[in-house]
Amino acid sequence: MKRISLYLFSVGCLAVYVLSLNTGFMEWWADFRTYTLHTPYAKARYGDLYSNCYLPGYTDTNYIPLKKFGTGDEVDLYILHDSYLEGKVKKENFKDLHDLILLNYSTDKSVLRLDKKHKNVLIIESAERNAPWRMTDTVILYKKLLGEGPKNNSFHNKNKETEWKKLFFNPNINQNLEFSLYDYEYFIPIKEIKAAMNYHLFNRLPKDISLSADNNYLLLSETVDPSSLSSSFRPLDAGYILKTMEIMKKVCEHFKKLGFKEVYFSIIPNTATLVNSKRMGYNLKIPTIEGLSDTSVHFISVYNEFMHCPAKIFRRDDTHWNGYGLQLWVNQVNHTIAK
Amino acid sequence: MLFNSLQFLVFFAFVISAFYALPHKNRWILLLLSSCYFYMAFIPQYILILFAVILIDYVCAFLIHKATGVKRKAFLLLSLMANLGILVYFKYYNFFLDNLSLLLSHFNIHNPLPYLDVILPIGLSFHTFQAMSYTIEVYRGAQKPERHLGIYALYVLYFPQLVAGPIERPQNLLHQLSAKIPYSVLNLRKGLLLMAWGFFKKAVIADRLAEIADNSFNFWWQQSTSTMWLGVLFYSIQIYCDFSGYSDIAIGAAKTMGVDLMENFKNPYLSTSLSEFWRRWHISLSTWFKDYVYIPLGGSRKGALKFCVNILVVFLLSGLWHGARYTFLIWALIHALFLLLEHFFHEQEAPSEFFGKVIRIVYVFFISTIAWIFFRSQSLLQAKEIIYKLAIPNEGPSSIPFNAIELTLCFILIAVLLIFETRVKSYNVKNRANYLGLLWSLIFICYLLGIYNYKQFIYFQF
Repeated sequence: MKRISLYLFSVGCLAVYVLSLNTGFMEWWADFRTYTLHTPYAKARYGDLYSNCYLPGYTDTNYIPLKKFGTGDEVDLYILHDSYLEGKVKKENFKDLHDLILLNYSTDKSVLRLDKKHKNVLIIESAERNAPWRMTDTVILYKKLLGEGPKNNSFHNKNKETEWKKLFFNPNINQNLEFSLYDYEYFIPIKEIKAAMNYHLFNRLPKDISLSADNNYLLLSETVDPSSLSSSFRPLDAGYILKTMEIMKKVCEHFKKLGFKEVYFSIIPNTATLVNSKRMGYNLKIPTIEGLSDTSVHFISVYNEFMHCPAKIFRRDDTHWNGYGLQLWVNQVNHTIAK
Repeated sequence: MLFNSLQFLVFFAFVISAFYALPHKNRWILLLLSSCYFYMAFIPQYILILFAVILIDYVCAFLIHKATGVKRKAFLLLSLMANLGILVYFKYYNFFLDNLSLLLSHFNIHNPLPYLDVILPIGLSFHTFQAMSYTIEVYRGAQKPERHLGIYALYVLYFPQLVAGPIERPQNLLHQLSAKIPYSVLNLRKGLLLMAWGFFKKAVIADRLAEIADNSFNFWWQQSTSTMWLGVLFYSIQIYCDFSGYSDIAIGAAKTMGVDLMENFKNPYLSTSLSEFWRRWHISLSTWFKDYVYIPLGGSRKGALKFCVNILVVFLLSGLWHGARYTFLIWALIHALFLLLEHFFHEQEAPSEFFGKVIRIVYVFFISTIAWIFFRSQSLLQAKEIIYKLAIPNEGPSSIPFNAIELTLCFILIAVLLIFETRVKSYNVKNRANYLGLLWSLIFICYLLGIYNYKQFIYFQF
């Protein structure tokens, strides 16, 4: 009996270990837990920042649904987006669209097929902490959207080697094991005790988490630390901004030649920009870049609206906006397309 | 695979349960495969280096055993050269090339040879020395060659002590790997308690003190004298907790499987002389050098001058073993110098009175702490500037990354270490309730106060 128990236990441990090596299984497991078992992991249930620190009192589970509109015949909207829009918008959330095509920066799928019978509009969206370099990296933009650029075989082969190694030596195994064994609702109280003790006694937070000046929001440290490129408070390099505009002009021309009627850039402010700017001196990255726009480079801007909005735009426990912030952005898009 | 990670805990849970589930004759397969996987988790291809060396040593051991006269020595040299060749290639080639380039630059010869751009195999120095001790002991006739290739491979690859020791001897370890080990609840309890204590030293003490030590050493020019002293003192404790914590986890993990590894640390900072310090610090390495370098060179039996030379050779090799940097050599030289001074002034023996003992303990701690400055510094220049900062008072503005409460906690943890280090290791695990109380308390404290940014153990780099 003892031996059987030991065998079963060892097989169980091995199964947990081996399955945690498999990225495909972990993705399936995450979806299964969220949608079938209804035991979502902390990042799905609460925010990404909260799930990094478990500081009690910073969860924000208010869900604000987006408005729905009717469809149309004319406009095909293409959005190259990041996690701010991932899984959050559908065609019916925009006014009078014929089609909505969403492409994430990190996806491997690419290559647009424009339907020239419709009015094709492209929006290149990015969070402020990754702007403007993400939106002006022509290697990513052209390769992802259009499949352009040289095929790099050595890179492709290195990817195969990395995939093979990941089967046995996945570098994310610790995170995967934590997710499988420890990322459950009933462990949250003990995690919160540790976080509260570390914060209130030792003033410790995880290195990538900061608190806003008014202690109401969790922030990504890189958006606060002035030495970080992603920071809202790092002094701007004027030469770099001007060079950025030149690249943006070329990007617009390139996509317009391929059939897009309109091309827009859209920068979503960091939470730190909204909540810390009075205390720390915001570097004015967004108004500076948007202020340089001309007839060839257009922006869908939410900066002024966000800065002056009395309601909460961002989640307390997450790097991303809440439903209200997203609705404001969608409204701006609808307004721009309708013009 | 780091010991202080969830990956290792799950891996270990699998190995220990499968170990006792399997019949004895199959256990070596499980341990060998697990150990190979453990090593490959760092850089998979490097396992081939170990396989090659294992094969060479396995064959050489038989050849040494069967041969006579000069041939025995030749086969031993072949084995040693294979092991040392790999060590020199990965660890010392670039260092020697630096010095050669500097020398040749005086003759206007530049870039004589290309530099190597390779990552050092993890734990290279440890398993190399362990492998060498096998063929040396076979040569001396103190160990018969192991017939079972799998068992010999396991001797080199045994995962608890593979990457940072203790550096075992074949007489101690080999027979244990093939012995039939019955399940013993006491072994399991002792092993788990030692592992928990090791995790406590690493995650709660070492990684916490590391934040202040790193801040002081990495930004030494910004430190005041007091913060620099704090960083230097904390580094002394950090390196002890880090390395002895690893050893405790390794010894504890082996103990759960009924294997007794040698003790590697015996409260070295309570030594009353540097001679005693080296009988208590990294015991497996110091005894290795004593048995295979110091005594064959003649030890202290061939006069005062030879004794001095032998001590210097042993310590310089020890410094070099730690890394290809002059700072390690200076660290070793400091120890050698004070050891020799103690010998010639007859100061190795501990004084009988309490106050005298305390003075001597402080002296040993102080000297070893100063020496650690060189050990930790990236260059002689950095070490020199840190020592100036310590010696010449400068209370300019500086900050430490802790608030007053956490700093107080650090001193409390050091006191806990001093009080409980021996008590935990000799704890009576027969009383189940007491044992479980202590074990779960340690686990809970490790969770609550542990710093988990997956910091590698310091001695992994050697």
